Order: sequence, then C-alpha cells, then structure tokens
Amino acid sequence: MNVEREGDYITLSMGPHHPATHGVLRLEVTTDGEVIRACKPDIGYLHRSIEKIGEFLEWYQFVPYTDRVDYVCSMNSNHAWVCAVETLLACSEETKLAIPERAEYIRILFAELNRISSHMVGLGSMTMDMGAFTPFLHALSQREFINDIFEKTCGARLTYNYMCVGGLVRDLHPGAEEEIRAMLKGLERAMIDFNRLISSNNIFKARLAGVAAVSAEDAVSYGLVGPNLRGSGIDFDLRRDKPYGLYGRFQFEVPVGKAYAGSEGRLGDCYDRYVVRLLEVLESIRICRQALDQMPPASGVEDDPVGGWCVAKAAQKALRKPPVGEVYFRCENPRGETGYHIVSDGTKFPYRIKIRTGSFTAMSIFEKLVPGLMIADLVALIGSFDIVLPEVDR
Amino acid sequence: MSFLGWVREIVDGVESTATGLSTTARFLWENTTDAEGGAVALTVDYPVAPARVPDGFRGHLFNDVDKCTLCKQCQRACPVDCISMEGELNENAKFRISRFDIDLSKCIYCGLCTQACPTDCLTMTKGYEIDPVNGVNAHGGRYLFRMRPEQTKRRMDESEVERLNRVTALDPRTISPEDREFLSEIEDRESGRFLFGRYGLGYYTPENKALADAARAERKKARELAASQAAQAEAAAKAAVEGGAP
Amino acid sequence: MTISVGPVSDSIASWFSLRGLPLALSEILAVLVVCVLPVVGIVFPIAGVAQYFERKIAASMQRRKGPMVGAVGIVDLVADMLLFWLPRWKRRAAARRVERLPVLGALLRQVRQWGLGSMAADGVKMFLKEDMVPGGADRFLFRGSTYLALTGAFLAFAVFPFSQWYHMGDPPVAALYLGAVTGLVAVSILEAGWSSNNKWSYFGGIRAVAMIVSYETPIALAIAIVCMWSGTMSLQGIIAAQYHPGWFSFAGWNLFQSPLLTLLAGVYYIAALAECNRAPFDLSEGESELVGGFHTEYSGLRWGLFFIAEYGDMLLVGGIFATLFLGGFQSPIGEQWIVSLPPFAEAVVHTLIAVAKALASVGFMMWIRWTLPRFRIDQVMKLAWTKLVPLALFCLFGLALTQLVAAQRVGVVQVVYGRYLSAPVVRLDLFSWFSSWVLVGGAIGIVVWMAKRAAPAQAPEMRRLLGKESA
Repeated sequence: MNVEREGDYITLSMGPHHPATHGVLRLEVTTDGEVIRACKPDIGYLHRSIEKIGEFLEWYQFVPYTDRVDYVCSMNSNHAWVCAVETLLACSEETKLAIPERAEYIRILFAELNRISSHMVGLGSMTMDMGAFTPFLHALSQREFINDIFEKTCGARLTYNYMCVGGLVRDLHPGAEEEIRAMLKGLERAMIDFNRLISSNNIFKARLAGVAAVSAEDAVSYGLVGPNLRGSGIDFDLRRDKPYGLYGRFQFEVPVGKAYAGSEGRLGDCYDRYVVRLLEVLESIRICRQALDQMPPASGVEDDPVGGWCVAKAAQKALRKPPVGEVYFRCENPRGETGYHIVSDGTKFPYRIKIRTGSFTAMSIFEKLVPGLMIADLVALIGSFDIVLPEVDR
Repeated sequence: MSFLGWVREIVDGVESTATGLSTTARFLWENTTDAEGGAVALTVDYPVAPARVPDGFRGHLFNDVDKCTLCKQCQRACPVDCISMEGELNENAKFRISRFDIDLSKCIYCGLCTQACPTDCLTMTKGYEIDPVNGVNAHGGRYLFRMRPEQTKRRMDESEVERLNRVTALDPRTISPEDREFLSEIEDRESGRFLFGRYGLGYYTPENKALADAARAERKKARELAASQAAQAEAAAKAAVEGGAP
Repeated sequence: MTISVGPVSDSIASWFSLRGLPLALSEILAVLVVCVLPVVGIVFPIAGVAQYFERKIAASMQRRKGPMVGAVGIVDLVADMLLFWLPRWKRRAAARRVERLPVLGALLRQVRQWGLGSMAADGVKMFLKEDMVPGGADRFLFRGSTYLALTGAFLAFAVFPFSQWYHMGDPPVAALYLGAVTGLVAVSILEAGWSSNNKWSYFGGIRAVAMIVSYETPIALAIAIVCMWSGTMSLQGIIAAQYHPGWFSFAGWNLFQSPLLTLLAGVYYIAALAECNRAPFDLSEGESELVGGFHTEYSGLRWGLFFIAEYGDMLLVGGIFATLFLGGFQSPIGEQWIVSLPPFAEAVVHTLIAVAKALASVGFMMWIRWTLPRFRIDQVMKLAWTKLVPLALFCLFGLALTQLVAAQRVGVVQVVYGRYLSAPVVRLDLFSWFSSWVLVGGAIGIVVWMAKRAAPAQAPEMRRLLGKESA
C-alpha cells in the first residue's frame, strides 16, 4: 500500500469495536482531515476455525456450524451445505437420496424468508449508520415476525439448524401457511412505510448518491457478488441463471442498479445497492407466495421430518460411506454467492471444507475504493456492502 | 445549478421531511393509543411479564432417565461434545444410568441430540432461564439429571429423601444456604452416585414428563406411519417386479 | 449603587431588607434568587424530564415501550438498597405489603408501569459513575469544557424574557448579545474534542466548530431581520411589537405577518437545530460514526453537564424562536386580559406560557431527531451557505420592501407595556397584510410549481417501492 507521507495525515483505527463496522472489523484509515487517503482492512477478529472444526465432525453434525457462518441468514447457509452434501451423495447410485418435493419447497420458502429478514437487518443498519434510528427498528420489527414463524417451526430464532441432509428436521407447524401469508401482507405495507420514511428522504439520498460508485469491470474483477454486483449494473443471479433446488419453477425478476438516485447518483453507488436490496425484498415476497401456492400438502403427521423417517434413515446410512470426490456448490445468499467446496475421502468425516463467502471477497475492494471518500462515506460504504463479519472471518 | 433546481432542492427537502414526520407521527399515535392492527409495541416487559415462547421451542434439555438406555447416541451426535454420561449396575444388577451431564455453557441448543435419541427420552423443554452462579448447583453451568433415590446405589434415609424431594422442587433462586450445603454434601461427583438435576425447570417435573411423553407418542406414531409407508412401497416394488417378470 | 435586575429582584430585595438584612446583601441574594431560580428550577428538571420523554417518544415511534420499570417511591428505593442486607424474601414481602395499600399502592403500580423511575435512575447513574480523566488528556481543558458549555447556555438565559415583569435583565441590544453568546458552545466542543486525547473526539470537535460557525450566520441574519421588522433589538420590545388586543392575539405573531417571516422562521429553526448539535445535525457526536464524538471520554456527571447544556440550549433556542416568531410569553388567545392581571399573576402565567412554547419547540426537535438521518459535514455547510443564507437575505430584502411600501406606523403598544418600547412599532394594515400574503405567497407558489414541473420523472422501481403503483 503506497501512501504519500507529505503533510500531516491522521491514522485512525476504525477499530474492532465500532458501531458502524457491523461486527469486529478493523480498518486502518489514514485521513487528511475528513478525507481518507488510504484504508487497509484488518480482519480475523471473528475467526473461529469453522472449516477446520468441520474436519472432525460428521457430515450431518456440521449443519449448526453453517448456521454460524452467517448468522443473519442461517437458512440460506444451511441450504447451501445440505445441497452440497446431497450433490456429493448423488454422485453414486447407492448413496443417492430422494428428497421429498415438499421439503424442497419449504427449503426455498424459508430461504427466501430468511433473505427478507437478512435484508431487513442490512437495510435497517444502513439507515442507522446514516443516523436515522427509527427505520432500523421498523425493519427489525418485521424481522421479528419472520423470526416468530421460524421459532414456531424449528424452535430457534437465529441459528435454525432446520435443514438436514435428505430433507428437513420437522414439517411446518400447523397454521404456518396462513401465518406466512398474513405476515407477507403486513410486510408489504411496512415496506411502503419504510420507504416513505427513509428511502425517499432527501438527506438519506444525499448521503448515499454518488458515493463509492463501483464500475462494472471493477465489480467483476474484484469478485463482488450478490446485490453488490447487481448494484453495479450486472444482471447475474444464481437463482435464475444457475438454478438449484426448485428455483427453476418460480417467476421472479432480478433487480439491477440503474443510478436510482437521479442526477446526483452514479451507477453502482451506495444508493443503487440499497435500492437493489429493497427490490429484492419485494421479489422474495413473490417467490414465497408462489412457493406457498405450489407446495404439495403435508403428510398429516406432526413432528414428521418431511418425507418420513425413512428418508432420514437413508441419509444416515449414506453419510457413513459417502462417495469419494469433490463438490463445489454455489447458492445465492442474501450477501451474494456462497460456495461450499467439500472434499470427501469416503469416510464419515469431511476431508476438507472450504466456504467461499461474498463478504470476504468484498473486503478486497476497500483499498481501491475508499481513498477519496470521507469518513462518513466510509460508514455508508460498509453499510451498503452489507458485510457481516462471521462471513468474512468464518 | 439553475435557480429552479435550487428551489427544487429546497422543496424536495421540505417535502421528504414532511413525509417522514407524518410517518413517525402515525407510528407514535398508533403505538400510544394501542390501535388495533396498527403499529403497536412489540416488546415484552421481561422479566415482569413472561417472554412468549411457542411449543417446539428449543430450550433446555430434559432427559427422562427412566427411559434412557445409555446408548450414547446423543453424545456422538453433539457437535460441541457437551454431553457425558456414566452408568453402573444397581442393586438389582440392572445397568442403569447414574450420571447424565450436559454442560449448558457449551450447549448450542441445536437439537441434534434429540434427533439422535432412539428412545426419545431426550427432549427440549421451553426453559431458557439459567443462573449458573446462584441457582443451578455449585458447579456452575452444568446440568445434571438425577435418578430417583430408589434407583441409586446407596440408600438415603427417609428424612434425607424428603428433604431432597422438597429442596429439588423449589425455585433455584429461593434455596437457602443450608439446603445448598446439604445438596453439595450429598452429591459426590467422584463416585457419581447421586445426581442432582437443575432444581426447578428441566428437572423431573410433572410438566416436563408430560411434554416428553407426548413428544414420544408423536414420534412413535410418525415412525409407525413411515414404517408402514416403507412396507407398502416395498410391497408395491416387489409386486411390480413379480408382475413384470413372470 | 444598587444591584438589581428588574422589578422582581427589587421586590425580593426589599422583602429581605425588611427582615433585617443589610441592603447590599439582600440585593445580592435577590439577584441570586432571580437568576439561579430559572436556571436551576427550570432547566435542570426539564433536562431530566426531557430525557424521559425523549426515550418514551423514541420508543413510541419505534414500536417499543421505552423505560417501563424503575424505583419510584422512597419505599422502592430504600427497599432496593436494603437488598444487600436483608434476605430476599423479606424485601419482597415488604414491597408487597406497600403495593397492597389502597391509594398509594395503586399509584405506585401505575407510575411504575410508566417507567418514571428511569428519571431517578438516570440522575443517580450520572452521579455514581466513575469520574475519569483519560491519561494524556489536557486536564484543565478537559474539565473546563463542560463548565464552558454550561456557561454558554446559561449566559443566554440571562436575557430570556419570561415575562415583562420577571426577567434577569433587558439590555437594549439583547438580540446582539444572544448572537454573541450562543457561539460559546462551539469553543467548548472544540475544547472537549481536543483535550480528550482521542482522535475520534478530535473529529467531533472539528466538525462541531465548522458547523456552528457556519450556522451563526443564518441565525444572526434571522434575528437581525426580526429586529428590523420590530424596530428594536430588545427582546422585550420584539415581544411587545407582537402584541395584538382582542381574543385572537396570535394574529399579532410575527409568524403570520408575512410569508417571508414564515420562511424566515423555518430558516431560523433549522439553524437553531444545528446550533444545538441535534439531529439531523448531530454529526459532531455522530453516534454511528464517532461513538460519542466530542463527549466520548466523558462519563458520569461531566457527561451529564454536557447533556444539560444540550437540553438547556434546546430550551433556549426554542424560547428564542418563540420570542421572535410566536409572540414570546404572550398567550395565543386573550392576551389583553392576561395583561390586565396584577403583575405577580401576570408574571406566573407568562412564565408558564413561555416555558410551554419552548417545550413545544423541544418536542418538535425530538420528533425531527427520530425521523431524519444525519447530514455529512460538507452537506451541512452547503446547506447553511447555499440555502439558508440566500433565503435569509431574500427575506431581508423582501421584508424591507414590504415595510417601505406598505407599512403604517402604530404606537398603540407603547401605552399598554409601559416603559418597554422606545420606538413605535411597524404594523401592516389589513389590506397590506392581505395583499402581501397574496402577492408574495403567490409568487413563491408559482416558483415552486415551476420547479416541480421541471423535475425529472421518478423511476418506476422507486414508484413501486413507495407504493404508488403495484408490480
């Protein structure tokens, strides 16, 4: 990192404890007054060796750890892991699993609900970083309704451990469909309120418009994924372009950045990423409704791991001797592409797990993007990338 | 910037401020007047009011030791290795579990142990309050399940049994220091002969026993249904094979 | 030489000297009473109560309940303190017995539910926290900045017009004095930021100075324009100039005299928000960026003094806003009859009205705080210099023109308020008032309409997000 040492620069440690870094992230920031001249991210404060621990756990035991890889969108991480393991098992005929259709629909339903709740956190904390404390709590109150549904179904509010290799742990709780539909209706109204309150606010737009615009080439070359990539105008979404699970059966649009802030905005600025996330919430609501409509009915037995015990037994048997090989499975998480690269040597323990997360690669663009911004803009940038540290550090 | 653009900036600012103010005013009004269907307060006045916990909540674990067979499946399934157990022969020469220990400071409440348990004796209750310093026992954060006195190896006399039953049924916060001393005297971690559950929640209370029994019945029904479905599928496959290749 | 700050202190001094105290001492005591009483009696409790209301208002806007439980009465407080010595069950039994008392118990239960105990808890917490001065900090400046902040706030209270009979002084250049004194808070924030030996605090201090100095101009302009309109720089005179006999005394308020004055009121209010470091201008304390900004390293009572200075400032600028535009201590209806009351009663009523208006303005500031996000420092200064100052200058020219063209000179007010007006007041007669509203208001309306017409259309996705069209 090349920093000119002329004049009096202040070196700040936007240290691991900071309200705006969304976790324990440290940024070494060299500023000239308010304007930043250099920024060097320092990560690793939340490293928990999840990947290494996975080498000592059996395949089905690793699911709670995937919850904690990104605890804001646990369902999506669960989904990625179980899909990866199921793909591995599908490599050989003896271990191939038949996943019940209802389980697949519920997986997608919950993954999209978790996308909504993750975006509530991301959008809400962005508004809080900009100084508006109220919309954050409005967004979180909607997230609470989603968490209530999750709590009734799987018993937990944050780290769900709901999906297992071969299906799900439990079926939806009785009355889930009506609850989810009612919640989605309330959510639509609440999003309109939220947008009227803050998204169209002049001050908010002025804070985000034109700030840290990421060009399309930069976005691709630095490996940005998810809403960060789409905010720069690139139309790519794994759910539509490389569908996994049953995503091919749903109709939804993929929002792309278009310099939504008007004349002061630029393509790929913070406001674009913000609006892309807002639109993704609306699209997720669509997908949830379609999933509820298309879902096959329940088997009628309470506390039935979806598909019956026979599926779970088959999965247990298969996981004791999985095929040898490697699988890289990509899922569209709220933060972008999450990939699980698993290497199996035929035993019941994985040989190697490597988790590729969007937030980790997003850290690479900081050194290029931040010089020239002001400190207040840096806060906006971190918020607009929706970086969560458990994903960065694992 | 043009004059009209300047005016527009000011007007937009005033308008967006007014819209925002009206939205928050509406929230203020609906919250204060507890309007039906409006933006009412979502927070719960815990601990004055109890926190709302639904059925199926993954709270503290409860092991119905009458049914536990010491198969160690839960110990194997636990991702953080927080379960440990020991067994010994009791005076009827039956191999019985004498100590079942879940370290609640390590437990991540994932429920994998309950999925693994073949006799469904391990279930998750709706309890979430724990006081490792004051309440549980002197060992802080450990969570032991006890056997009833007649299942242990040494006999306690009547008064001790009575005192034990009385004390272990109390709210852990109300146990007096003398009773606490009594419990730590009787408990002998080395020999593991006496186990003391978490006094109060999670313990051998009638409610938890009823919950566990209900859960076990549901699982049994589900297993039977699945077994019959599997049997039907097998029979259909066999019939197809036989019918297709006479 | 007599020490006096007005007829109230005169009467109090005479009361003391009648009881046998020497004259000088009684005059000093009287001045202390008159000066200390509003400061301590109004500002400090309001700061505490305002904290409670701020939390409750914030909670209500955010779908929460806010502070709910707290030790309220003496019984609860003492009972909780005895927790260390009595076994628990004894304390609960005592508390239960108190709760079952018929009237007191019901009241305690209600009040406990409102969470009023949080006021006491906040106060006690401030006193009990450790008083730390960070290592490497400039100790003199670190301590002095809090005292300076308080001084700046309360110096301005010295000319605050509570009533025409109750005030601490009415210099003929009170408006100028106000503009000068409110700038002290900038120095105190800079001092705090610099002396904390903390780079983040330093940033907060620098930002605050830039912002407050920039916003001095719109404030000074607004005050000057109102002085021009009212013909006097004395605050009592400005209030007197807004006197209107009859039932609807709010017709005399400056806010309604001309649309330019309404515009000016908006300019003043925004600038006043910035002077208080209040959202959307709270970037010097910037909770999301700088944790605490200039007051990060302050704890306990030192932070409490900054806090009281902030709320005192809010009360002050709210009161000055009321003075300049809302008729000050005058009641919106029936001022004529309040003025005819005996002086003591009139002083009490007027003080209550003045404080009520200031509190209403503080409430509006709270409302704005919990709605709007925060500006960036360059946007803050751009707002001041490119929007507020030109608007204020536009109002200046417009109002000067209005006065030249349409005003009459009236002297009615002189008679009622006695010695408080040396220059006659400028008033618009009904026709001029009406035509100024129509012409000026119409012109502004046409300009606004033209500006909005030339705006680019909103993107369809934004319209969808705002619920204006469905997908």
